[in-house]
Amino acid sequence: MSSDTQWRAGGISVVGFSHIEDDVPCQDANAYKVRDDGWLVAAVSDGAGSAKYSHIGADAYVSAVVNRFAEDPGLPDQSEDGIVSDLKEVIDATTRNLVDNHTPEDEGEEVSHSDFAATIIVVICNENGGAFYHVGDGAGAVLELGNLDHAIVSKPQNGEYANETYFLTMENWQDYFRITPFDEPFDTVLLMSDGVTPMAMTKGCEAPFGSFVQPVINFLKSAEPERGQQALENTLTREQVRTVTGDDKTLFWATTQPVIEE
Amino acid sequence: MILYSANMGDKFIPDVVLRDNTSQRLPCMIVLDGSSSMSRKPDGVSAVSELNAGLKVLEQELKADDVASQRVQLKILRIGGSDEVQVVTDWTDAMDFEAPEISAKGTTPLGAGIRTALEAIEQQKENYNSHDIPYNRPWLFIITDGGPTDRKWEDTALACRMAEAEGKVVVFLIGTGSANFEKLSRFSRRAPLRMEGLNFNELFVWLSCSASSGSQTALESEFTLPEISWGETA
Repeated sequence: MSSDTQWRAGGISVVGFSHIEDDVPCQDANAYKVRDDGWLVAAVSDGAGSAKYSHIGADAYVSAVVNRFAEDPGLPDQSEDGIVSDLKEVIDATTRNLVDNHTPEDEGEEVSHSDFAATIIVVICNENGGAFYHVGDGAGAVLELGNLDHAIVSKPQNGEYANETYFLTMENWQDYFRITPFDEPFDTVLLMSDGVTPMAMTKGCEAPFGSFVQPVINFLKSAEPERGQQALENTLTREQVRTVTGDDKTLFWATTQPVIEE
Repeated sequence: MILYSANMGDKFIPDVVLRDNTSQRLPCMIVLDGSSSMSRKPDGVSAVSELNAGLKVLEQELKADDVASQRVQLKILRIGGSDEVQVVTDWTDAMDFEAPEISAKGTTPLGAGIRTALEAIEQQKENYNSHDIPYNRPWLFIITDGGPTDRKWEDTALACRMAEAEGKVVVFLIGTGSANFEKLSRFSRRAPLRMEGLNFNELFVWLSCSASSGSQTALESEFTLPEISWGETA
């Protein structure tokens, strides 16, 4: 793979069935940047269902993280420790800004950090490798589409219970900050929220689920971007998904496979 | 490689398998008061008849909810008779749940009922773990119109509080107007809930809806559930 490898990338966040019924906004968010030097920075965040402004938190965290690394000329030479340090700094600054700059909906309303509770999974890599940076649930995977057995996975962290996880707004969130580096050959990068993991990953989030991931990525990397995006949205919101989860769903994908032009 | 062009007209990504690979479960234990007092009719209607109607609503609501029907597993205990604990529904997937008919006769051995419930919940967790099934924090609902009549209920009350403090279970104590809320409050750090009238239908609709709610913080003290419309803190 050469340094001028073309990435194809896209991300979508769709509101879950139960949130539509309850008139709750989509609490997932995603953001990404394919840099001119071939580095990819992407983030997916899932706002806590129980937090009032978690949709604002999720959006702020992914934007802040991606903006931090989108243009930084020092990124290619930065150590993993340096990236971690910058990530922690930007996340803490975002949490402070969320509380300090929030305009209350109701007079006299007081907001706290936990009102913006959200998870995050970030990938920073080029075609030779990189790492996932992760707090909470959702998942990340790098893989060769033709051979899913060797995928590197950043799994969700839930503690004992599947519906409970860790958020960036917790005082000790850095205790739950996980790093998964990768330098094996890959052609596809995925980030997803916990609305997608039940379908896109196997039991226990051990590996990507081929019968979901392969047709989805094969379609997306071949389709015209707008059309691919629309078909992905339609697929994630189709009726049969209702029985899997009512939660919001986010999938970010990036592939280094060259696009075949006719 | 197949190329998809804009005029192919297909709306969805083809050949994608959309299924839940997790088999996630939410264990929900319900301890129901089947003592004689539940059959009294101070206002022309007995609590037990309203409870039984409510259980039928629970069955309908769970089966109608796409996520709850797949995720919730129920076990229902009746307390009554001569300080007896009776399994009226053993662990059952919500989609297969058939509402039992609760009879009202005997005493209110809440201590024994809750002890049995706590033990059964831990057994079920072991069962999930041995099959790699992820599960939500179990719910324990206790519904009564009175208070404990068995001798060692205070030991169980302490054990129940400890189980809750250790994050093993979320406990909901629900009483109708005549319940002994002082005694009920001993079973949980969370205050018992006083039901408005005999509004079992709304309680069970809420239970079913709550089963689909989103992720929570993994700190027990912040555990929250959708707003309760069927009662208030006693």
